[in-house]
Amino acid sequence: MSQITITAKPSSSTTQITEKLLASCRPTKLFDYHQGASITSLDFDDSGQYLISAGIDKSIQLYDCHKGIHYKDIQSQKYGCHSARFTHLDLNCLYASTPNNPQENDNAIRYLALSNNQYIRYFKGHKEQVSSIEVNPIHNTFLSSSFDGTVKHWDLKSSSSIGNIDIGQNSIIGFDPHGIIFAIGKYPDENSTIGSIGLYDLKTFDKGPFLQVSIPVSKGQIWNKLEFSNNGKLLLISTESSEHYILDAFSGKVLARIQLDKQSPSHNHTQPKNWMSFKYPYTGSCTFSPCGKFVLIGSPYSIVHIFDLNDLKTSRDHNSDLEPIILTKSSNIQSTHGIPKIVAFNPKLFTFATADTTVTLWSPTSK
Amino acid sequence: MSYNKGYYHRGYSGGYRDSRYRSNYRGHDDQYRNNQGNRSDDSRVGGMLNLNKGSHYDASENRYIPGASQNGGGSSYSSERNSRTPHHHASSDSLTSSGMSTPMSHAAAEQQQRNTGSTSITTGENHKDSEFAKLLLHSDNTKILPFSRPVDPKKNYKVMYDPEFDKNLSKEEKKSKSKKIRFNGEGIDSKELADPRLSHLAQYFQKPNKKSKKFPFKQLPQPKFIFDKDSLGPAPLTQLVVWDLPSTTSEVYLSNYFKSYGDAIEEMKFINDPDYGVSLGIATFKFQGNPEKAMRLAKKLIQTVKIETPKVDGVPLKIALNDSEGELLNRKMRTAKDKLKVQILKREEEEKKRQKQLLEEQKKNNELKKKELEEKKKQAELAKTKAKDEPPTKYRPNSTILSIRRQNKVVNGVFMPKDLNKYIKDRPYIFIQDKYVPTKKISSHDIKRVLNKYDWTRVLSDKTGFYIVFNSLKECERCFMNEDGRKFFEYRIYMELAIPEGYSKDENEDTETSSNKNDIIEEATNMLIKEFQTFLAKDIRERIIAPAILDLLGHENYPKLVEELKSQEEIIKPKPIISNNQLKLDALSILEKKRQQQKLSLPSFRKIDDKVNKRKARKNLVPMQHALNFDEEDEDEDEEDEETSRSVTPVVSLKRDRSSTVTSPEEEEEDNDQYVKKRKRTKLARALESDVSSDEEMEEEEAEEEEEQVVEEKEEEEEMVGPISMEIDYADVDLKYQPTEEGSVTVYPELPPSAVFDLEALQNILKDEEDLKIAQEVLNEAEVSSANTKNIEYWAWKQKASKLVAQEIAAEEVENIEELPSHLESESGSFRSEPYRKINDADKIHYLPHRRKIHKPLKTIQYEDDDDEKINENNAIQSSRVNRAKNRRFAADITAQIGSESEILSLNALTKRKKPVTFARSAIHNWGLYAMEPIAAKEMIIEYVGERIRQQVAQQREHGYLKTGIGSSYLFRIDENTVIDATKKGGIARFINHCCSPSCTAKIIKVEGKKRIVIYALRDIEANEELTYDYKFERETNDEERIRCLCGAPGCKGYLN
Repeated sequence: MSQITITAKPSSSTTQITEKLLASCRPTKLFDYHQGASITSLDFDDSGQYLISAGIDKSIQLYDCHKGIHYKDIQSQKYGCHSARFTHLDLNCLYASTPNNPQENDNAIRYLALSNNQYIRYFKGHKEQVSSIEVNPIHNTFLSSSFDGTVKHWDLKSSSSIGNIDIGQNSIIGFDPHGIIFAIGKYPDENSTIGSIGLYDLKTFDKGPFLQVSIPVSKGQIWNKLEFSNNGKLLLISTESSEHYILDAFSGKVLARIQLDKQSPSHNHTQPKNWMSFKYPYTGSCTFSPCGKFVLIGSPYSIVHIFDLNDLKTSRDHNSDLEPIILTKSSNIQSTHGIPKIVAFNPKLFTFATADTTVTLWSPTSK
Repeated sequence: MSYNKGYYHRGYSGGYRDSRYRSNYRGHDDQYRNNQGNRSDDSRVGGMLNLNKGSHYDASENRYIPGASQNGGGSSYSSERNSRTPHHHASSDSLTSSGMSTPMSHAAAEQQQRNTGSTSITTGENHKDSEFAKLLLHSDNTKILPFSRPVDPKKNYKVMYDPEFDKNLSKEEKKSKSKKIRFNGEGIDSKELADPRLSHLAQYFQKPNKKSKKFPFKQLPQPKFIFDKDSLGPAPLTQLVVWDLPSTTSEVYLSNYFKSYGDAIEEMKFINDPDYGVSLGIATFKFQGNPEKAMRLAKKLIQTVKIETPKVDGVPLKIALNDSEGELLNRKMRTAKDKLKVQILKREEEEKKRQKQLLEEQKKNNELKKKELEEKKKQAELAKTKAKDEPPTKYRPNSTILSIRRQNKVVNGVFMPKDLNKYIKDRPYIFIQDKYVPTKKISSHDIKRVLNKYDWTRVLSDKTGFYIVFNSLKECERCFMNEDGRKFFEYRIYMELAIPEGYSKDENEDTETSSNKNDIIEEATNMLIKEFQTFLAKDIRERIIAPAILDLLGHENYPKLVEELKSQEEIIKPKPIISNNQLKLDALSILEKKRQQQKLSLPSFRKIDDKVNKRKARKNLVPMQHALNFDEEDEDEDEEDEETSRSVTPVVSLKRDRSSTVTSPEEEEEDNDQYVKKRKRTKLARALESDVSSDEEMEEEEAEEEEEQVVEEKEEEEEMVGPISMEIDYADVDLKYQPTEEGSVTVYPELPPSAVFDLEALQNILKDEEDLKIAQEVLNEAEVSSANTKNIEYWAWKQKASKLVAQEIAAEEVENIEELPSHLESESGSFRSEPYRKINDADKIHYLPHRRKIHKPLKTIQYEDDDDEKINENNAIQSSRVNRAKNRRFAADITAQIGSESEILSLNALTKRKKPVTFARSAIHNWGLYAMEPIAAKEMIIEYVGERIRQQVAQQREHGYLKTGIGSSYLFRIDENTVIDATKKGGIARFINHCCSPSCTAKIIKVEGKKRIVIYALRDIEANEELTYDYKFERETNDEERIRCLCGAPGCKGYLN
C-alpha cells in the first residue's frame, strides 16, 4: 500500500486570471492511461493537487497536478465507474457503478479510499444507473441523480440516503459555493422545447424548490452539467448541443446564450452531426474559471473556447427584463489531442484539464 | 425475503416498469398493463411506511428485477431498441451499427481517429470503446429507459434525525432508536419556502467560505510540471556546451568547476577530433536531477557566466545551451575542426622554416662559441679578482651564526666534538642542538628527509645534537636561511651555522654561481647519485663484504685459535669476579668497622661536626672523584662500549668526556649565571635552616657548607676539575696541605653549601682522604640500596649526566619565560581571578602529553573493589571467549529445536558480545571510553552505533555541526558512500578517543549483509584503562586544518590527520 501524501502547493507567486493568460494555455501534459477508452468524468480534489478521471475501461486514474505526473491506476473491473468525485476527506472518492452486465443492475455509489484501494462504504438506493454525483463543496454530504428519476441526498457516514426528491426524469444537479442550496435541472424530452431549473434549500428540499424557472431551449436538448460559478452569481448549463446557457443564480433568468456553431470553422466533411452527443455520457464540456469571470467550453472541432463574462449584467443589477445576450465571440485555443468533451478547471492552480480518451493538462505559456 | 421479492415484483416494481413502458410505447404490451393496478397501492404503502431502520425501508431499496420477469421482457428489449432510437438521435446508422458500417465519407477521418485513439468528430464515436464491455451507462442501455414518469411528491423525503449520526447515543441505543423522516415537507407552509441566500446576501458574496472547494480565486499559482514521458512538446534543454577550452583543462577540473554553480555534473564529455584524436576544446555536460531542475541550473549558470565572465585556465569561459537537435554542438565542432586544420598546416610550415633557420644558426653558433669562450675566460678572471677584493663579512672561518632565536648573532668559535672533526673535515655545517631536537627521539633519517631539498653531504648525530655537513657554504647558507626555526613534529629546528677554522674559501664559488641556473638538475642528479652511492655501498657491504668476512671468520678456518681462545676464557673468567667480590667485601668490612666505632664513641653528630671542621687531619684522603675515576683508561673503554651499543647510527661513535672539550661560549655564560643564582638560593636556604637542629639535618647542613667552599674556589680558579689536577701531586708541592700555625684554618676556603646534595656536591666536599674516611663513617648510617651500587661507575656517570641535562633544561626554561605568548599572560595578573575559559588544543599540546606520560596508566575511574578484580582478572579474560562459545552453542541448540535461528538471537549477536564499558572525562579529549573489566586481546568490545547516512548527507551534517558549534567529530566512514553519524543518535562507542598507539581497532564487519563498525581490542586491556583506536584520518596537507593529537603515546605523531 503506497502512502499518498498531500504535499504543499508549489510556492510560486500567483497570477491574475485573465483572458490573455487563459488564451496562452497550451496542452503540456497528455495522459493516456485509459487504453483509448472514452473518459466519462474528470474531477480535481479540494487541494488542487490531484485529478481523477474515470473511463469506460473501468479504471480510475489518479494524477498529480503539482508535478504533472500520472500517479496511480485504480481498477474497478467488477463494478465499472462513472462520475468519480473527490470528497473532502483524504484521497477518498465517490463513483457510480456501471457494470457491463445489465442483468446485475448494480446501481450503488461506491466510496473508495484511493490511498489504499479499500472501499469505505456503498450507497445503495438508486434503482437505475446513476448519472451524476455532486459533492457538497463544504459539508460531507453529496447529491446523486439517476435515470430512475430521483435525486438523492446522502451523508458520507451512512449507506442509506438522507433525502430523496422525485424528479420524474434524469436530471443534472449542482451545489452553490456555500453549500446551502442546490439546483436541479430537467432537460426537455425529445418533443419538448422547455427545460427547467429548480432551486432547492438543503433544509426544505423535500417540500419542493423555492424557485422553479423554465428555460426555452432547442428540442430534445440534453443537459449534462449544472454549475454555480464560484462567486455564486451565475449558473451554467452545459448541454450536448452547441448552445450553452448562463443563468442568474438568484432569479434563474437566462443571461446569456453561448452559441458555438455560429463561429465554428467550416470544415466540410468533418461537420459533426450531433455536435457533442456521444454514446457514453460525460460530465460536461463547460466550466467556469475559479474567478467566475470566464467560461471554458470545448467544441467538437478540438477547440477550447474562452468566453469573457465580465460584461454580463446580472438581473439584480438591472431589474429590467432584458433579452438574453447571445455570446459568440471567444478566444480559442486548439486542442492537439482529441475533442475536449470534458473540461474541468483546477480550483487552486492555474491549470485545467480536458478529456476525451486521454486527459490533457493545460498550463499557461506566458508569464 | 422471498415474500418481499414477490411482493415488490408484483407490486411496486412491476408498476414502475409498467408506467415506463406506457409512456414510450403506448398500448404495446398487455402483459405489463395487467400489473398496473397494483402500482398505486404500492406507492401508497411505501409512502405511509414509518420506516424502521433495516426492515421495510431497506426492502424498498432492493433490486427490483427478478430473474423471471427480466427474461420475460428480454425479447421485447431488443426489438424496442431499434424502434426507439430515431426519437433521440438524428443519425440512426451510427447508433445501430456501433461504428461497424460508417459512411464512406467519414472513412479518412475515422482512420485518423483510430490512430490517435480519440473520439471521432464526425460520428461522435470512439471506436476503441467497442473493445470494452458495454456498460450500463451506455446510451443504448439508458435510452431504453423511459425518459420521464409522473412525479410523485409524496416520495420526497428528508431524514430529520438519524440515530446513527447521534454522537450521544451508545451502540445499543442507536439500534433501538428509529429514524425520523419528513415526507414531502410536512408541516412546512409552501409560503415559507424562500431562498436562504437572500437573508444574508451581503455576507454571501463578500465572505466566501474558505473551506469551500468552490472558492472564487481571482489569482492562481502557476503549475510547474515535471518533464516525463507524458509531457508534450520538446524536453527542456539541459545539455550545455562549452567550447574554446584550453587543451590543458581536464575533465575532473571542469566538472568540479561547474559543480560549484549548482548540482553535480552528469555526462561530462570531451569531444576529440575524429581524424586526429586531438581535443577540440569542446565539452558537453548536464546538471544532475530532473530535466526541469537541470535546465533551471543551466540557465542560471549561463546568466552568471554572462555577468561574471569567469576564466577557465586563463581563457574566458564560453558556454551555451545545446538545442534539442545538437545544432550548436555541431557548429562548434566544425569551427573547432577548421581551426585545428589551420593550426596543423601552420605548424607544418613553421617546421620547415625552423629547419632552415637551424642550419643557419648552426653556422652562426660555431662562430659565437669561439667568442664566448674568450669572454668566459675574461669573466672568470674578473670574478676571481672580485672575490679577493671583497672578503665576506658574515662568514668568517671559525665562527658560528646562532639560530633565529638568538637573532642570528655571530659568535666566534665553533662547537664541535673532537671526534667529529674527521667527518666534518673543515667543511661548513649546521648544528642543531640536542635540546631543540632530541637525538634520542629523532633519527638522522628524519632530519635527512626534512632537508632533502638541500645538497648536504652528511648528517651526523651526536649526543650534543645533529651536524649537517655541507660541501659548499652557499648551500649551507641557503639551508640555514630557509629552515632555521622550522617546525618539525612537535619540535622546532633551531640551527646554528658553523664554519670551522680550517674552512677555506677557495671552493670555487664561480662554479656555484654559474650552476645556479642548473640548480634543479644538479640537485636532482646529486640526489640520484647519492641514492646510488648508498645503495651501491649497501650492496657491496651486504652482498660482497659481509659473506666474505663471514667465510673468513668461520670457526672452521681457525681450529687452533678457537681452542686457544676457549682455554683462555676459562682461565680468565673467574678472576675478575673474585676480585670484585673481594673488593666489595673489603669495603663493607671497613664500613662495618667504622660504624661500630662510631656507635661506641659518638653518641651524636655534633661531635662529628667538630671533627669535620678540623680539616688538617684529613690530608691523605683521596677525593671521591679519584676513587670513581680510579682507572681512567678502563672507564673510557667502558663508555665507548656503552656508546656503540646505545647509538642507533653506526656512523659516529663519540666519547663522552664533555667537560674537557670546548663548550659553546654561550653555555659557559649560562653556567656562570647558574652558579650565581644557586648561591643566592643557598644563602636563603641556610637562613631558613639555621634553627633546625635535628641530627639528620645537621649532616646536610654540613654538606652544604662544604659545597659553598667548593663553589667559591671554583670562581677563583674557573676550572671545574681543579681539585683533581691539584690532587695529583698534592703531597709535596701544594702549600695548602702544609700544616698551619695560626690556629685552625681550613685547608680549602669555605664555600657556601649547594642546595642540592648530590654526587657532585659530595665530591666537592670530600677534599682528601680524611674527608672520605669521615664520610664513610657518616654514610654508614644510611642504608645503601643494592640496586644503585651494582655498577658504581655507571651510576656515578649517570648522575652527572642527568645533572648536566637538568642544567640545560633549566637554562632553556629561563629562555622560554621570555617567549610566553600574549594569550597566556593573564590580564588581571592571576588566572585564578579570571573566569573559566577554554584552553586551545595548540596550548594543550605543550603540556598534556607530557603530563599523560607521568601519570602512566590511562585510568581515571577507580573502584573500591579493585583488588577483587585483580583476582578474577585471569578468569575474566579467558571466560569471555568461553562465553561466546557458550552463546554459540546455545544458539545452535535453539536452532536445532526450533528449526531456524530466531530473529532475536541473530539481532543480539553483537550486543551479547559487548563488554562492560563506561565513559568518563578523558585526558586526551573531552570524554573517553573506559573498560570496566579486563579485556583480552582480539575481543570484541562494542559496536559503533549511529545513524547510517549517505556521504552527501554526512557532509551536509558535518557542516551543520560545525556551524552549531559541535566541534567533536562523531562521523565514522564505512565506505565511500556510507557514513555512520553518532552525533545526535548513537551509542557510547563514539566517545572512544584517538591514540597513536591504540589499544583497540575498529573493524567493519558485515552482519546480515549490512556493514557495521565494531571495536576490537588490539591487546590485553586492563580494567579502567581508557580505550583508544586509530582514527585513521586522511592526511591533511594544510597545516591550519590539522588537528593536534593529545594522546601522549610514546610514538605520538603529533597530529590526528
